[in-house]
Amino acid sequence: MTGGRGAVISLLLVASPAVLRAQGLRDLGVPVDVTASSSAAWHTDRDYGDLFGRLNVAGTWDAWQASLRVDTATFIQPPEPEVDDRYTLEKVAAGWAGRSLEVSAGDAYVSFGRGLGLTLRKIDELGIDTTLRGAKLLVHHGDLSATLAAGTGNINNVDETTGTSADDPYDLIAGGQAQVLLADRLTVGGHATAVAFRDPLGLVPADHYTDRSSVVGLVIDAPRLTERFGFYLEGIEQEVRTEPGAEHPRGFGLYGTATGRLGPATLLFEGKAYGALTLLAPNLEEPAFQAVAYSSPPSVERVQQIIENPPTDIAGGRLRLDWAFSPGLLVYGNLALFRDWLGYADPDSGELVPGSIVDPYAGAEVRWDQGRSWLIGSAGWRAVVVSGGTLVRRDAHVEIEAAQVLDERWSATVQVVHDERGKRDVLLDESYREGTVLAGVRLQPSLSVAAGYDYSTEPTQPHTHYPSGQLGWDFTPSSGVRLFVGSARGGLKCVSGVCRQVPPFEGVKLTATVRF
Amino acid sequence: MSSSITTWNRGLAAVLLAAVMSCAGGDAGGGGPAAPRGGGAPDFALRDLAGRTVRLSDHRGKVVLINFWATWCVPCKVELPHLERLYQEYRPQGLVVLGIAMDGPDSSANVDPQARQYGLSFPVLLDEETRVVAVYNPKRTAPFTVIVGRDGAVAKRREGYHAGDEVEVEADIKALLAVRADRP
Repeated sequence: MTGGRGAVISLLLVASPAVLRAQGLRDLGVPVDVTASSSAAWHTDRDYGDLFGRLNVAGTWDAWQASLRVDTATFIQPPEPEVDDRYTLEKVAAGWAGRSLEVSAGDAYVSFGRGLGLTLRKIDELGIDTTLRGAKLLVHHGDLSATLAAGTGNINNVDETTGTSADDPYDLIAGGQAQVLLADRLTVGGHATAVAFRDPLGLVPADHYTDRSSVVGLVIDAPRLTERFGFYLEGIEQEVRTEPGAEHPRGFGLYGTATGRLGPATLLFEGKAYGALTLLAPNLEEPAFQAVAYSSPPSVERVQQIIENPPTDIAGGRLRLDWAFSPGLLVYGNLALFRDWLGYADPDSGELVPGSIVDPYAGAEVRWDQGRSWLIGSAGWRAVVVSGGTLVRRDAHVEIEAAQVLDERWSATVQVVHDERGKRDVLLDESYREGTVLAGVRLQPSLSVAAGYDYSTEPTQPHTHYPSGQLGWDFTPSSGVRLFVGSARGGLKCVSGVCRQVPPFEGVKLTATVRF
Repeated sequence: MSSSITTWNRGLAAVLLAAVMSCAGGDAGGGGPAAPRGGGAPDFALRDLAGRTVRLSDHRGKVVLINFWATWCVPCKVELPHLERLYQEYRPQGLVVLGIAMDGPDSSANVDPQARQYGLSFPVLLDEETRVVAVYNPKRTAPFTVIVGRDGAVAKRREGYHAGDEVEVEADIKALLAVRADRP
């Protein structure tokens, strides 16, 4: 397919919501909801353009539901052979949902417990959107509920930040979960998952679907056991078979939370203990897809925290105290301690030795002008220490977001993120800083203008300074366009314990979202 | 490139199939949920913070504001107290607010403490699977608000939160509450 023909197809898909809307399909009795997003960018640093489109259409008729998503990626002067045009029916599903039974065929999201055994879900911030393409059955009957699902893993085939694409892994996945609610307060359940990987997980060549994993888990959940106390507890055992005849490693995971409430205070303890745990993930060669996984044990760390080691041999927890002094003033403090046996290189000996992680941080939320003006900030310092007290990693961080209402229509916003990071190894002793400052104004109900400045002294980054300007126009409350001109730093981006490397951007980017 | 073309042709066929399927549903019978015939807000069932199952169709005939939020989303933190105020003010007239937390396994432990700190009295539901998010908010925008009218159909959608949005949301709610349930 030529680039020109691809561009036409992309433009048609991007414009299709407007066409559908113009035809007044709802008025004709065709019940559809449409969310279409598209972006057109020119990368001035590498002299190429890209056009991404994503069209979601969902329809409902009585208890029947159907949905589909079409993704397009078209490149102009692409930097061969890294990227390629791609047009994919990314997700398609149809199902019937009654009060006691829900059945669906096609793509479905599945997650058991807190993700230790299986979690196929959307993390759009990282370009991850993994579903199970097959069949899913949900049963709700009184206090009983159960889920059964089987199919193959279906990943987001195109990574929009890099333009690279990958085929679906076609790993076979099957699992089930059953839960019962006791005395209206305590949920007890179990789950089991089996995965047969099409491509071998390790470096040893093997036939398709010979590498397999199985996970069984138990869950006890009592979020409001009493008015003041609740808890969650989950334990799993995992077996991974990678080589015929070899010993099958068994891993375990324990995760739990306890919440106490007293007056204006809420106390949360969250703990984990993982041993020889394997993060279940498809064997995808493209680096941009390395964050795709079938399981995601809770990291118990900050959502934005850069985590160097996968949480496979680690134990510890965090204690967080929230205090509401008034509706306009909330403060919290958090202390996390972990022991990571996966290890860090000792700067003196070079040996891989266990590390201890200390992570205190605190924050506050202040509101005024009847909650329309606000400041939300946090700061902390995370350190990793190996035996003998040697500091091998350090991360001091500050995050501030604030808004001030100027009059009935105008408001000003500012966002500041700053990190001071350090890494000490046998061969290097580096420290760097990076951050973002974004200041803007908003004219209700539709216009936003902002100026941004990213900076990074991280050695692999191409520049230190990344200025930018942004303009947004919301032509309806749920649809709008955004124009970005300038540059943005790259680096490791983490969301919910999942991290991936994001490349820097230089150029012009126009994004549009249409919903109806 | 041939694989792309194959993928595209296969995709096109499936698009047509799905389009037919989306229009071909029949009467679900007495066991079906409460979506209005001819299309409406898709029904869903999620657990709340106490572990009880809450369904959208349980609130048929009321104006339902569904707010997708997450504990890691700063604008969500600003918007939630406004939604609580609206809930308190308009609940007697038939407003229901359902807060759907999009937090995954890694941060869902923070949902209950945060809801408590903000004094949220409306049901907060957990969508750890992103099952409902994928239907109503496929871009996974946070916050994202959907208002379902008394007729069971989606009436309004709103992306994000900016200072002053609560005034427009309140106007939308008042207008929808004023509409009788049996009005076409």
